[in-house]
Amino acid sequence: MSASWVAHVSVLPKAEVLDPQGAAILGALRHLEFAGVTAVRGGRLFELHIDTMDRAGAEELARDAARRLLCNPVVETFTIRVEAAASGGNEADGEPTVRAGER
Amino acid sequence: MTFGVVVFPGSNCDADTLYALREVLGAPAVPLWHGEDSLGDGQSPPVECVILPGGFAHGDYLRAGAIARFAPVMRAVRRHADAGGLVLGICNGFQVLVEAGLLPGALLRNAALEFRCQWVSLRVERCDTPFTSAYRRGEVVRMPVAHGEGRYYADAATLARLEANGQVVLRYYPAPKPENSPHADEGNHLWPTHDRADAADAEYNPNGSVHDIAGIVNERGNVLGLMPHPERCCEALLDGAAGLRLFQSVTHAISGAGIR
Repeated sequence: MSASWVAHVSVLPKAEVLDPQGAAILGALRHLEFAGVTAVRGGRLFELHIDTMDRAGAEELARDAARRLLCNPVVETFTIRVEAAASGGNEADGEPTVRAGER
Repeated sequence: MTFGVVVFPGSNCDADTLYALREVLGAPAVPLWHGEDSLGDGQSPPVECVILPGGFAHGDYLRAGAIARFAPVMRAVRRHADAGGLVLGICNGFQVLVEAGLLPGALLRNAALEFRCQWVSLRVERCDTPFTSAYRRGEVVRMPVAHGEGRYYADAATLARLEANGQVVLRYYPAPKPENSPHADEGNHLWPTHDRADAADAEYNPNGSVHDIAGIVNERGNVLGLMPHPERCCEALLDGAAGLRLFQSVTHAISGAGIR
């Protein structure tokens, strides 16, 4: 029997790649006097709803999707976090796993 | 020889490109639907140069070119390139080629975060490619650009390899001084000069590309990607015809060198 999972795939520009969007947001934050913010990088968050037998399967699927489509490895890196999908008020299946993506 | 122009959902320079090829260059040119896994029907003369046109294939969703690269026609484009056939990616087509891995690097959001629609000056670094034989080496030509994501990026090792191999074919270049430019006065009456000379001098590189890269070829030299739009400058009426020479180079390469 399969279970439902939500995989959060975060994609960010690599540190060595100029991120003008992040720089513009940093400028805006400084303008708003968020003095402690020293750097901003802007990326994307994808939420994949997945039905698989287990958490590892969901994570593998999300990693494959990130490698092949969601992330451009030339300029971006990704991280994946998988958690049990909330369903009808049932409590989540344990703590979310946090795994590093590919740097 | 026959050109094929790929039509993705969201392509918007396919008709302009077909017009330039058919009506100005005078070459046969056919549209190629993105859902087809071949470059033609097998009946008509074979397509010898495939062009991926400008536009916003698949809405530029995810990343420009990221979804288009999985289109069935891209399998045929890859086979064509692997066999030594000519492939030309213009603007969004260049973005598709880098996403598909047919050219190295990536094209990112313009450094100034602006969509840039302007004329640029380009230095032709090589005239021994199938796409640039009608230019002189070191010549500076004008072409229009129109893009929001044209900042060429490659890591240091890739850049070094590109430069060592001479794969950088076109570079953004400061506009020549008016007395040296054959285009200096051309069309100046059409709009204020600050849109042209001043802006072009101050920011000759419109997107922040590394090494001022505007166009590159693959190692084999049969795949070219460039951000400027040669199809938009094929007639004097359109304020310059530098782009036509790119397509003339292709016809010369095909008929002259007997490629296929």
